[in-house]
Amino acid sequence: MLIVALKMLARDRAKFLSIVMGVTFAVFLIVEQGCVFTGLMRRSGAIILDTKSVDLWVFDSRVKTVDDLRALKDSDLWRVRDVEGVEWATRWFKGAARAKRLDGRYENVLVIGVDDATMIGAPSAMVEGSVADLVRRDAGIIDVAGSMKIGGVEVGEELTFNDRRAVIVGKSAATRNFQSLPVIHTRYSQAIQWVPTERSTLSAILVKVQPGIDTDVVAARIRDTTGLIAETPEEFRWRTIRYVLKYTGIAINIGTTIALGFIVGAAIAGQTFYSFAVDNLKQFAALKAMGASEGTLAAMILVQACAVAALGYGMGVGLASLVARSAGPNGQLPVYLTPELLLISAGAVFSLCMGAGLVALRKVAKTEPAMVFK
Amino acid sequence: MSAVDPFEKPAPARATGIIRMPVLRARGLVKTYGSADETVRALDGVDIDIMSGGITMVVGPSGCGKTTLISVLAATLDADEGTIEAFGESLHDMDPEAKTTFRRRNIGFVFQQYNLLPGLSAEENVEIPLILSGRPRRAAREAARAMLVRVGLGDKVASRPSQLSGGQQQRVAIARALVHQPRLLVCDEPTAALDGDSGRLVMNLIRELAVDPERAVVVVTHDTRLYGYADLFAVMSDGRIAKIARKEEMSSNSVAEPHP
Ligand SMILES: Nc1ncnc2c1ncn2[C@@H]1O[C@H](COP(=O)(O)OP(=O)(O)O)[C@@H](O)[C@H]1O
Ligand SMILES: [Mg+2]
Repeated sequence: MLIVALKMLARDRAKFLSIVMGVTFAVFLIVEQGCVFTGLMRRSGAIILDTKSVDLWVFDSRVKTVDDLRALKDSDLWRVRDVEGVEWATRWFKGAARAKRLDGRYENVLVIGVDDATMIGAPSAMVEGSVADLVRRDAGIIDVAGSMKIGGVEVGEELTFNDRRAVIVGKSAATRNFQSLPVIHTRYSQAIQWVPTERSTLSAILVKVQPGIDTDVVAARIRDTTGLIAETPEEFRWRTIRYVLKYTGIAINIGTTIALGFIVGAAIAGQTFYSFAVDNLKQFAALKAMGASEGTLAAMILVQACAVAALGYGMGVGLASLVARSAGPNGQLPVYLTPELLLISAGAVFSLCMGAGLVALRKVAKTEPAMVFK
Repeated sequence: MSAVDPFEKPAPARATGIIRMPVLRARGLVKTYGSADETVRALDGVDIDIMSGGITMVVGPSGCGKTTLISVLAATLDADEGTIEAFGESLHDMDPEAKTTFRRRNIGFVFQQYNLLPGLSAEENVEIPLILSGRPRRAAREAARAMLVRVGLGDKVASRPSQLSGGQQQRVAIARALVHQPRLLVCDEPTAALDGDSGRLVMNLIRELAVDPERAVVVVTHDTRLYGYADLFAVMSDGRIAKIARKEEMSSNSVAEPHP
């Protein structure tokens, strides 16, 4: 009878389409908004994510996010290097600067300075040019998405920072950051010339832990001996995300949109599915008269609900990922499709369809088989 | 109720069915619709025996309780009062689940509005009773096709109800009602939505295919032109059985001959 149920559903073209569209729309809204949310969260920790082969980030104890680093002292670097279990520790600089283009326009950019000798923290994925070129005089590598945002910057183009020359020697595939500013990587020594700063210029210290030694143990040691905070990239990213969630209202905004998407979707999908079941009440009554048990009818309706949920889910996710694909992860829109999001939206849409199915089922269960004589 | 013993005289030669024995015995059926202040007593103390081997026609004016009666007899509606013994079982004692099983095993339905599932082809509709009783798909499909051949729709097995005329749809419904060999066939105004010729075709099919010594057939109608198909009449009026009559006892002007 489950096959009969699916035929009943699928061969009622118009209603079937409108139900599947309703569910698709609901899924799309949920996944799309969820993508924007995860996209923003990803962006908020993008710089941490992009800085590869680092076990620990060391920063001032008052720091709440990667966008609000406080200057460390040079002596901190030596003290961290002395901590037992630290393989290496390098300087890392991040600062906002204004770049002057050849045509005289000014653009706000983020400048990241990486250790001159080791280049640790340099872009890990290049689109054009090579990280090795960073050793050249005045060299900087800009991220592709950021360069497009300021109207395209070509390799070889010269910029001026603070009356100092800069030459773009390559383009990286860095993840877009929260402020959507172009990111220019350069050597540490270069960065502190481009960016006007106070006395001290060390934003954070990047640490590699010796092989075989527990990262948490080393982190605790660094904390104890320096009074600084040492966190794994993931911890630091979540520290940043928590801050963004807490102080920017993004969570409330997007949460509201997701809730609205869910409610609107639930209304559309639930309503159309419910009305499908009610429209078919007489068919169900006929089946009941012919001796279909409550269990059989329940299975039929739930299978219909499942089918609708699965189709709508597939199409909704398909649509959302099309949008995500065309926009991200480095496009203009901050969208990022995660497995968690897929699971959550699947849970949401299936419970939604099941809910509608159960309501419809109640209605069918209450129907007298004698209704079929009317 | 004027009790008439159908075994008093032998069935007339014209009737194709030979009424055998009561397989369904209802006593004191009462069914009331509506709320406290406005109630309709659709069944007001009905006693009736339904015999196998022929067609019992329930006749009477619109609103007299015919549909309610066969709904109750077919175990799709619970009476407020009264008892029904059917095929040796007490319907009035059954819980809903047992009634469902009873219907699945014993009853075939033909409705005025056909009530075919519009999404399903003729053969898919006809095999439903077999699938419900757990017949393997292939066997169900074969039996459904054979049944459609018997109602003259061997070339329409794949047609959807919307592609069939009313008469053809009702023939599919007859195939569906008989495919699982039920012991009771109930037909509520089976020809009311059809033109005269289609109606006669449908009644002829019921006559030829449904009447069986092992099966009771109840046809509800208020169409006097169909009276010729009956073996026995239950004449209803205001929720009661006014009389039980054999064909020759019905007033001659209301009885038309069948057109086989
Ligand atoms: N579901 C219902 N609710 C209220 N009244 C009903 C219902 N079904 C039937 N009736 C009433 O019960 C009476 C008998 O109806 P019914 O059995 O359908 O008669 P018939 O089939 O002979 O036309 C009528 O007066 C009808 O209006
Ligand atoms: Mg009626």
